[in-house]
Amino acid sequence: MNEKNVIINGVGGQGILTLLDLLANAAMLQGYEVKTAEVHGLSQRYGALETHLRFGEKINSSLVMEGDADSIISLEPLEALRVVKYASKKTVYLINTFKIAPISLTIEMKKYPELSFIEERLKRFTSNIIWVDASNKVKEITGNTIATNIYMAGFAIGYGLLEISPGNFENAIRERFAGKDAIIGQNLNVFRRGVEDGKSKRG
Amino acid sequence: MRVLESGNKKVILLGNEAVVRGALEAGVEFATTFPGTPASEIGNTFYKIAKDVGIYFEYSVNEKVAIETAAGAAFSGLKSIVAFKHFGLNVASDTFMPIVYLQASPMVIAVADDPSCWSSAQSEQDSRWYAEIAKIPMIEPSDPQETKDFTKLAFEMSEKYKTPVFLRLTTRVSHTKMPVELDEIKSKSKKGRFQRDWERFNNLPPHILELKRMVLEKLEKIREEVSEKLGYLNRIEEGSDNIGIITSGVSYHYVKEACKKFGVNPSILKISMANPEPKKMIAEFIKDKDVVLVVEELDDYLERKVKLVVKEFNIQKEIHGKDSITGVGELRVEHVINALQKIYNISRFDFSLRKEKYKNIEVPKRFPTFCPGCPHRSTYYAFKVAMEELGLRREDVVIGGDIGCYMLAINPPYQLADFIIDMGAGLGVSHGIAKSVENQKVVAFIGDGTFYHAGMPQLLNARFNNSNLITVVLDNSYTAMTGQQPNPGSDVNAMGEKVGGVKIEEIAKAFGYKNVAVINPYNLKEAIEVFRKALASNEQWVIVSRAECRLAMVRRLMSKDLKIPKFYVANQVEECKEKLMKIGCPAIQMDENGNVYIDQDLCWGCGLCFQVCPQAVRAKVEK
Repeated sequence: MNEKNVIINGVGGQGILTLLDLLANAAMLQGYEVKTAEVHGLSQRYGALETHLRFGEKINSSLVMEGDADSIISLEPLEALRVVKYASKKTVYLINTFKIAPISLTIEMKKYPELSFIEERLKRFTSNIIWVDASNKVKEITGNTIATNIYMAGFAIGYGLLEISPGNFENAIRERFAGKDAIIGQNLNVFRRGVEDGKSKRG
Repeated sequence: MRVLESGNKKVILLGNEAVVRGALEAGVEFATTFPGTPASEIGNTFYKIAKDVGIYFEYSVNEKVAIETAAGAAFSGLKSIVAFKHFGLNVASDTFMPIVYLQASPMVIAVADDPSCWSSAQSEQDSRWYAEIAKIPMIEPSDPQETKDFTKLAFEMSEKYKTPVFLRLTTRVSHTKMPVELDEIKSKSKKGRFQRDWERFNNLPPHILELKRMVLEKLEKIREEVSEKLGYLNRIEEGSDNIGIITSGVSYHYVKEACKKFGVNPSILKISMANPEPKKMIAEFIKDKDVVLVVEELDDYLERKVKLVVKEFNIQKEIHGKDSITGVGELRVEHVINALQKIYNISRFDFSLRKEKYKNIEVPKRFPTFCPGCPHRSTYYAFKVAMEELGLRREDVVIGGDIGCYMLAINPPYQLADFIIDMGAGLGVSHGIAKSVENQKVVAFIGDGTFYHAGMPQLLNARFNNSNLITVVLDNSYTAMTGQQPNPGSDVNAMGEKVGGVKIEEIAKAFGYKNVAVINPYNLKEAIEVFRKALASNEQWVIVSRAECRLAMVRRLMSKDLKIPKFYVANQVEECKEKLMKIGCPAIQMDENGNVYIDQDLCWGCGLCFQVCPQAVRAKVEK
């Protein structure tokens, strides 16, 4: 396998660091060298959060180069646009449709841009844009949107973006939440739904 | 917990966790910190495991106290480690210098710099210079695996050479994860014994000069035995052309990556001990090169050392460094590729072309803000209303900010901080302004963690030198911004001992303040009233605004499966819409039809919106 360069981003509080850790662990279990980087300051306070995941045979830098992302997994539409500098023709974007309006818009009573506005701009860099109704799906399954991160991982793996087996990701879930069986059960359930939906999207 | 896994395993660790694991493998017995990002997870990890492992850990009141405490442990024969962020070293520097003379060992001082200032206001500081001033050996790992290995090595060196060792980290080392190979943990519970030894501790003049001589000799010994030892901390990777690259820390990985991407194979001298630097190794490396490029983040620290070697050994070579690589912000592979293109005189990448394409894409800013339900939002809201009710213009009120969650008040919609300098300086500088101006009110906001850390001398000073400063202490019971660590206001310390929290209003009273008030920020009316009274008077005030960090509270409720109170918009009252949106709460949003609603997943039930617009908002009653 060639190395994989992945950007995972969204808004602080969406479980992005957990997702990053699970994918790193799964990549290790898959037998790859792996490095992650958390590019953030005060992300817990609803700021923009950008993380990098690189794995393959030999990994030095933990940061992805501009234009060099193989995939970008964005948990929030506007945030997808914020990391567009990592995208190029080869990049596949996986974007959660669930909008979280930034304070800079709400306090000015300004409207959140349409998804088509975001997509038009992303398309200047890559034509591979996949919108995923992840948060709403997860809400259907669990009653809230907390496990959106896990669903997105499932979708990405099911779609074949990461070359990580579902089994290794499931083991990463079991390791991370050891001792909390209810959470493991729910996350496995959400993850598997994501894998299925990713597979059927791929066709 | 991964950090406690048994040896001969490989687990994913964060750089900061790797510091802890390395210390445990070295047999650390005593750890201290004051939380500060990017170093916070070092202390947080010790906090989680100290009791289980049987070692001592404390969140000290500030970094100076943390380094003193760790030095005390080392003087008592325990292996100690202290960790903080770069600015912490500024606070600790008064003790950092003399303990090198006094041979505090085995002791490791872990300091994390923050290139790009991801989590730091103040300055983009390069702490490597401190190694020069203090004359302390410095080790710089490049990734989590090295961080674990080098931390262990730092302890060994500290013990062998009887000197504290400076472990210098950066954000990209501290906040990178990778699989780390583990060895066995050696740490266990141990008590020490202090040995009186006036020969060692006599730092009075003229003996202090003997100590200095000893420190300098020791550095030379370490240079010969450690730094110059090829393939140990400092190593050479032979390439296939006549270009030489000298690099250190995480920059090494950017060099490797850039060479791979760019398709060149220069020789690389990787320096993991830059103080004392391996002069002979550097000279030997440079000798047969045509061009040498020094790749390092932040200042030209290594470059200057290389240039001195060139002089000392009388080598005529072209040395590049900060003329080719930026000294501002975190390095990236892109920077190194650009420098290589210049040196090899080949152009394969044009990053500026890409930049042209994306720089014009505007994305609405998402600046960090107070959590939903945060007590600070209520405090600032009340303060703003009090100002408006008194008819005070914003320019007539000087507002000193400080370091902590409440520094987010600098952002819209509140913008209630005119400057943020460093911990405690909000109070100190505001006092200076209060003594200098007339017809302006001067107010300083400070959090509880920062107040204990570096606000008490300033508060005492303002009282003694008699300025009419209004000090507002935002007390949420934690050092919250770095992850809700306990501080002297908390009832329980890091070792789980119930010690009873110190009340800030009692400190203020003991200092002699006459106007001391405690407010509950969730009671908007009462809070406004107290702020009005203070702003209308011409006297010194200390106002403690106390309510627990909402994030901590919500986490506690959730862990017990308890319900979080919620509010919702019941009536679309036209004159309320803007008022509600201007609260600046992440939970308060507007739908496509212009209706205001409260996101029920995000609402943490503080009720500020209800008090602002009771005609529109209702509390949700769970059936």
